[in-house]
This record gives sequence, C-alpha cells and structure tokens, in this order.
Amino acid sequence: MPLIPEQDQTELKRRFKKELKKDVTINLFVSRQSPLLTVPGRECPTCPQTQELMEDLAALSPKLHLNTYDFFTQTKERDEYAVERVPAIVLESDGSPRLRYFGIPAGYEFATLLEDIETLSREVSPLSVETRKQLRKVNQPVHIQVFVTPT
Amino acid sequence: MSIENKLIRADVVEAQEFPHMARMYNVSAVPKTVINNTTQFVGNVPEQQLLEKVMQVGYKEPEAEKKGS
Repeated sequence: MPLIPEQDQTELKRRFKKELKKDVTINLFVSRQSPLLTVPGRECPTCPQTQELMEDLAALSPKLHLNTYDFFTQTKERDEYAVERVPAIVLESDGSPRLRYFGIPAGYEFATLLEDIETLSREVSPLSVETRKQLRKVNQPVHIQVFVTPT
Repeated sequence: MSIENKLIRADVVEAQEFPHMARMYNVSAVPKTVINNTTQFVGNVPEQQLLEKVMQVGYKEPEAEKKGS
C-alpha cells in the first residue's frame, strides 16, 4: 500500500503542477541496511519509511528530483550537506541547499515539507516585504533549529 | 528565512527520533526553536518577534567591526 493514499497523490499532482516553478532537489540521507545483517550503531528504524515516502513524493512531479545517499558510505555527500544524523532530507534549489529535516516528516511535518518545497520552487518566501528587507542585512551565520514532534 | 539569505540555515528536528539532541537543547515542549545555540524559545512567535531574534545574532554593524583597526 502506498504511503501517500492514491486520492492524495492525485490532489498533490494537481497542486504541484500549479505551484511548482523551479526544480527542487530532495537530497535524502539514510542508513542502508542489509536485510540479513544489522550493524550496531547504524540502525535507523524510520529510514525505510522515509525513503519510501520521498520516492512516492518525487514521483508526483517532473520538477522534483530525488537523490538518495547512504550516510555511512557516501561520506563526501554527507560532509558536503553537513548531515550529522539520519534520516535527513536536504531541500535544494538552484544548487544551494536550504532546508534540512531530520527524522521522518510524518503527520503535520509532511504538510510543512510540502509547503517548503513549494516556497523554494517559487523562490519567494511568504514573509512580509519588511521582514525580507531586514533579512537581506544579515551578515553573520545564523543557524535556526526547530524541534517538533509528529502529530 | 533561509530562502531570503544564504547565511541563514534552517533545520527541523524530530525530537522523539533524536532524544540526545532534545536533551542537549533541553526540549521539554514543542515547537522549540534554538538559534545559534544562544537564543531559545518555546512555541510559535509572531514573524516580527522571530525576525528580531534572528537579527540579534545575525547582524553586526560594519562600523563596530572596524573599530580599533
């Protein structure tokens, strides 16, 4: 059974067709486990489901591209995207990685992920003109981390 | 916000999947926001307030840096 119900897939396809302008790349980092062997310390219980969810999602629009990397063997990419844990999703547009998600984006977080994809694709955030003007002045690195739980 | 300026990085962390991080940042309620490990707050804040917090850590007067040089 698909993780995104068929009815929702149809709706999302229509929404993406309307809302997506620029291509967005979903860089997914997982721990690829052999079904026969579990390496201690490399367990990632939510990785398979996150991967399935992203594969289902990326299939809904030609403007969405999915790259899947193994956290433990593809260290070059891991370092490039500064990913420290899995599962991780790094949304990228125009060759610059912007937003990172750690953990499975389930429930309400899935809706947030969809909105972020659309925002990146449009290249305009829903923030006010004044806020955007202020943010252009930022000249020091800022790292915002938001902790959430699935609902 | 990270869309507006490349110096701004934004992460969403699922607290239950990464309990060590949740402990490290003392997450007892969600949503909890941590900015540069220095600013923390719980709950949803209005855009203006969030902007102020980001500007506090993200903006330095160019004049201030030149002082003493």
